Amino acid sequence: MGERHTHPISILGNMSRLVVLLLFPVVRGFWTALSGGGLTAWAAGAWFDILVVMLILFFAIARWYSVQYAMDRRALVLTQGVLFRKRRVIPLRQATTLSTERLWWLRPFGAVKFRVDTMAGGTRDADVVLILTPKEAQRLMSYHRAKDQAPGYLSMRYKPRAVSIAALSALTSNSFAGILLTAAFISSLGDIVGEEFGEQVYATLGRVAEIIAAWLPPVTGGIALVLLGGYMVAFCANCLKHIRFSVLRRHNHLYVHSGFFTKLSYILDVRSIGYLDLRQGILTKLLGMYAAYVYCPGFGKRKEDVAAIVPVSFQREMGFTLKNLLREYPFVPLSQHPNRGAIGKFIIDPFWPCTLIPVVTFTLRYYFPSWSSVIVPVGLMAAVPAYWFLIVRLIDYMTTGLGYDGHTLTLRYSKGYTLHTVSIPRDRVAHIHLRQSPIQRLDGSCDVLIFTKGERAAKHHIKNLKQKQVAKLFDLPEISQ
Amino acid sequence: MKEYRASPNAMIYWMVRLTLLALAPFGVSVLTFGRTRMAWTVFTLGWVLAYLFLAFFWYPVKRKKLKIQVTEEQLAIRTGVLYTRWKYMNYGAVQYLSLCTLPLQRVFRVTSVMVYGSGCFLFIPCLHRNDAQELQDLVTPAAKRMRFWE
Repeated sequence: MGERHTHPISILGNMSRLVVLLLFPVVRGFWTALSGGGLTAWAAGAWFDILVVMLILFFAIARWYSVQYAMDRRALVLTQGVLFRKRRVIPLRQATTLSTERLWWLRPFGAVKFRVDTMAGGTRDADVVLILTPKEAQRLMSYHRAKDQAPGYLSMRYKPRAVSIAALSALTSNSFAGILLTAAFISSLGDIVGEEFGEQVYATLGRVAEIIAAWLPPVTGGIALVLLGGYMVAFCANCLKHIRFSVLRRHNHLYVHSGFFTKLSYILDVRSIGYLDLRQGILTKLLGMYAAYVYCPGFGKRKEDVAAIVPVSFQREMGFTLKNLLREYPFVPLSQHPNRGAIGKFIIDPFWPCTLIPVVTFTLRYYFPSWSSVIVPVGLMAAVPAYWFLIVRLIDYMTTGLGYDGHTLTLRYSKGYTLHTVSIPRDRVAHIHLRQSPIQRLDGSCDVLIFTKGERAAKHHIKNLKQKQVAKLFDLPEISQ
Repeated sequence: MKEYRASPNAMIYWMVRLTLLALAPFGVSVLTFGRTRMAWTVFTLGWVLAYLFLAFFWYPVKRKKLKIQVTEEQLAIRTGVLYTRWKYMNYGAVQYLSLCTLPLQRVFRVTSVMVYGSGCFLFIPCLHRNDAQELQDLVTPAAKRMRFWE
């Protein structure tokens, strides 16, 4: 297989890594100014600045030229490094996810990002990231698809409805992410079109806050405006990420496509999926809806990635879809549940904020009555997430459990504000950890922690099950005294 | 099935290590004797009680509870002091075992074992050196063919 170079646009990315060298011309400029030298003195040394820029360009091009890759049905071979040459051979059977990302700002250059991820390597980004032409990226992706062309294998395509995508975006959008996105956008746009733009935007927001203050206390109104604005931005960004979302199952692979401005494509090896996770919040629980996620190295790793394999759906539709897309991950009936007396273990965490926040609010209001208009709304806003958490834990207490049929584990538990129903094949379990506190020793209970195999440890924590029954269910050896 | 327990020298090693660590607060107490009576009393009482708690409760219970079973299918570990922990790992999930011996551990012929799995990690403290080597050979037979440590 012949080795090739990546897209020349990679040179720009390489230059950005060396931008720290520009400190030298900057320091020289400051030094010239501080030592009383004028423009002439600065210009006399400009050759040094030009030399630094030429050096950056040289190293960027050298780094681009040093990166060579070759790929066929068996392996990807990547050679890189200017001074220290490194050669990596990644067998394609070890690749858990192949993906392409068509960023809108790379499109004018005719370039896409191509990623390969395995079970090893870092947890923040893929093991291999190359910038290629779209045609080349498609060629590399086709090697993974080759074995799925064999006749006789049924395939199933799933395309969610627009309302499911909107529901997923509505439920997963984060106000703070939206606030950060908006602030960065306004700041960047201000840098381009002038400071007046940023000032005008903030002045407009201030005027809106004044209008809202007619109905709400100013502090609450201001906070609500910021949070709502951030949420709407995050919601729109999530919707755009999931537009044209589709999943195709063919033989042992899932093909996922999504995105409008930035088009994302993934090929996941089903055999590398650690577990299937159905998630619910309180609202979706009340509506009987779920969102399905999978844990597969390389999929949903970064916040820009798509993470859900099936956006929000009702139970029946979700069951039908998963039966066809991921039949290897069934859900078995739960046979182990915590005893009724274990409620304390579930509500102890939210108990403290639910008790302390009202107490602190009333105490502060008693000692600082002139600040009531601030203390009470802030106390209420702080209490809402605490009581929300309490409700989640109460639902968890009523529904948590574990089931095992000899091949697949089914777990139901909560983590934070989310209720999880997880299906894990037995061979994906890395290790099982039973933890018993002195109080649990009195009634023979324990917490069960199950760790699944993968790039990073994924932990599933089910509270207060009977230790002997769990040991019998998994056929775990008894360790005598 | 094979069973292993913490080395008989484990208690001695832990006590020596604890005593060496206690030299620092002991030195501070000696140097600050006679000044700020309340703070000195609280500080000295604190580290003395911590020392006694570790020496007469924590380490003895830790040594008593630590047990490793090597069965046909999996490695089972029981450990913990206040919280009892049972940890089970199938051999299919074990990537490799690492034996670690610090200079002080070498004096008492004890070794710590780290079991690396897919996305997880187990720690077994203070086995006898020979037991640790035997455990490594049992769980990862390839290690037996490549003995660096004699």
